Amino acid sequence: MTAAPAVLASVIAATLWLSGLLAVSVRRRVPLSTLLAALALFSVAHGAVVGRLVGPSDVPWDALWLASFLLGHAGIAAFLVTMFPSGRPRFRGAAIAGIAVFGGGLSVAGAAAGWESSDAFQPPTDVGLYALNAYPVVCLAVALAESLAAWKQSSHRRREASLVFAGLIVLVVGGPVYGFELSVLGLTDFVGTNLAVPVAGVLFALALWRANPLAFRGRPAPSPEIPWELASGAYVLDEARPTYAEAAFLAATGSQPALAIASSAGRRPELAGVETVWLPPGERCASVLAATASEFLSRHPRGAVLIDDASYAVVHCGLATVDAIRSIIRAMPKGASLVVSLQKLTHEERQAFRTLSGSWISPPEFHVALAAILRARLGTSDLLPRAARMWGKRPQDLAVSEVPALLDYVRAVLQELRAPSDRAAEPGWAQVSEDLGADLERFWRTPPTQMMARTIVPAAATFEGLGIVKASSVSEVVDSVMEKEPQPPLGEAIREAFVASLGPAGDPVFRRVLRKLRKETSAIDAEDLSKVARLADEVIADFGGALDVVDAGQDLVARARRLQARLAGLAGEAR
Amino acid sequence: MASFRTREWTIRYVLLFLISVVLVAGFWFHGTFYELGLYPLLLVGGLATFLVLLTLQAVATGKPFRRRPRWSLSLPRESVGRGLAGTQTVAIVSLGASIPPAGSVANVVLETDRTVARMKVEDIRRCLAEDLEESDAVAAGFKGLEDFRGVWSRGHARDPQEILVLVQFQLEAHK
Repeated sequence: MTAAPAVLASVIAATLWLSGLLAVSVRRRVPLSTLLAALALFSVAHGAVVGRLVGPSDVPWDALWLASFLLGHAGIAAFLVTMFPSGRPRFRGAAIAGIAVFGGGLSVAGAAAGWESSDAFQPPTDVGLYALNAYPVVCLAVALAESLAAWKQSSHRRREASLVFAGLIVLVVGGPVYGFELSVLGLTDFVGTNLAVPVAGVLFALALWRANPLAFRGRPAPSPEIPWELASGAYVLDEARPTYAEAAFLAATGSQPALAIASSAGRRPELAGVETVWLPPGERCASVLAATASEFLSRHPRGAVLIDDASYAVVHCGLATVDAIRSIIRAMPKGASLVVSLQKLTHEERQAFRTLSGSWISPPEFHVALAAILRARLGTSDLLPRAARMWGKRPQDLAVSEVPALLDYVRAVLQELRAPSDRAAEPGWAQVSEDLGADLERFWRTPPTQMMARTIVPAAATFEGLGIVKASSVSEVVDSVMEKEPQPPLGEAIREAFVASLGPAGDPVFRRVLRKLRKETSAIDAEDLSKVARLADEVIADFGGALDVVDAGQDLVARARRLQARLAGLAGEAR
Repeated sequence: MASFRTREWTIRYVLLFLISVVLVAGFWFHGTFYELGLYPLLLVGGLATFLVLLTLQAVATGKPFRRRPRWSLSLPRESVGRGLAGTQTVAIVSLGASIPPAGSVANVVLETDRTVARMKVEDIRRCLAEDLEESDAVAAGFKGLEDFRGVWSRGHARDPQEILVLVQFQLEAHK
């Protein structure tokens, strides 16, 4: 009786303990299952060697050892192929199946030929034994090649690739190298085993833990109030804030499971009810990002993932983040959606993201576009910050789903402004309200993929042909439009109000008011408006006293009231 | 106390001696087995010894090698309020600043070349200047957001959409 069975039993125990630990802690199902299968097969092979040493002789220990030993190495190759997926999934699956089938066939042939565990990694005497030695070596070579390719191609996975490579070297040393040395030394009991399996398993486990996906359940997002739909695919949104990225994500989810991957900053209210995970800081960030998104989409092939703040991964891992997102896009099932927000990235960093194979969208900054619509229809965008303040927000924090509420607010305000006006002005207010409502509605219903500048400010022909523009450009163009069509000076606006309200008599009444005020038209400023209103009342009263027709007097009172409303409106704008 | 230290040292050096014996035995065996010449043995053996010593050092200290403060973070005074008082947990720096990676231990150089503290960088994130929160400004040593804006924009106008970098840290030693 030698110590070999006890040593092998302890190796089996260590391997099984590690397998249990992996099973409860690692969330990447496919690589985990291949690694667990490989570790289990190695344990069976070790158990078969122990059985051959101390067990009953009528059990086919060598056949059991042969199948588990060969397929254990195939499992290691499969682990590497699934751990660092590259190329087409179908090709990967075929490669794994081919290796496994060949191993199975070799096991059957070996069992028929009477191969024993003591033949492993020994100088071969026939072609069959050559195959017995070559097959595990080829499997380990495939695994080594995969780890080196991953190291070279995926900058965000270099640490994991290094750990896996070290694990494979340990397996090579503990298998083919020591298998040969042990028999020369006369320690034949250990031939056909690999005592380094637990050590290699620990290194593989470290690699898996390092890029372990964040925990998720995969529940659907709440029904979004987004009026457009988005086809599945990858979308990269170049915007200062993730307003459209979040809307696009909510539009893409439908009733499918959705996951938002956020940075360490606080939860955004727009994502309330959406399952959210937070990236860890440090150099694991990009690996965890890629692993989480890929695992989520592989479990929910019609699901949607939002990368809310790619800048967080860029801060921690640099442009390896681009490689990480590229690997997600490559592995994405056809019906899945991925939305990436490029907020808080520099120009150079955003350029690096241009290499991704997704739809690139540069929507205008949301609140700037809303302000442009309000200014185009009302001449001012003051209502926007007022509405936002009412909801405890800043204009830049408004979400796409809040446009209907904004529309209601604007209509209510216009209705309030309408009250002090009169019937003569009513059609104008109604038209403004209708046009503004239509513009906001059209803007709200336009997906960012079809966002043109004229969607934002349709009234201004100047915008036609600009194409998709950045918020800053819209702001500049809107400013320039306003400069080209300046509002009349206050004095002229007051004169127009007099004429519009009082008819032909408006001009002489206005001139009398100016004389009483002792100012020129161009010298009138906002502070004079209250005096103008008071003097207008006095002049109109004088003027009305001269009329002896009752109806004419009543009409003048109505006109005077209309004038006061217009002057009050001008005072409001001047404020 | 002294006996405890003696026992610890004894165990440590006995283990080191045993590992050295195993290494020498391994070199002798493999050198004989594969009939290695002197130079290949020196090369392979030297590499193996080097790796084993590095691993032992990491295991003994319980710290990865990168935890030593080989990094430094140079902070202008406006990054941490008006000075590093020891209560700050956040530094607000410009986008172009060189920042040690999260998890690293770095020497803090405050305006001058003199190291004033050692910190462990816990997190780094970006933030638009106009999105900075009151709690961030207070954590950085300012009285509030207005105080930060006053100090930050002193001397030159700042873009509200400027991207700032918030370094969350924990002071390990304050000099």
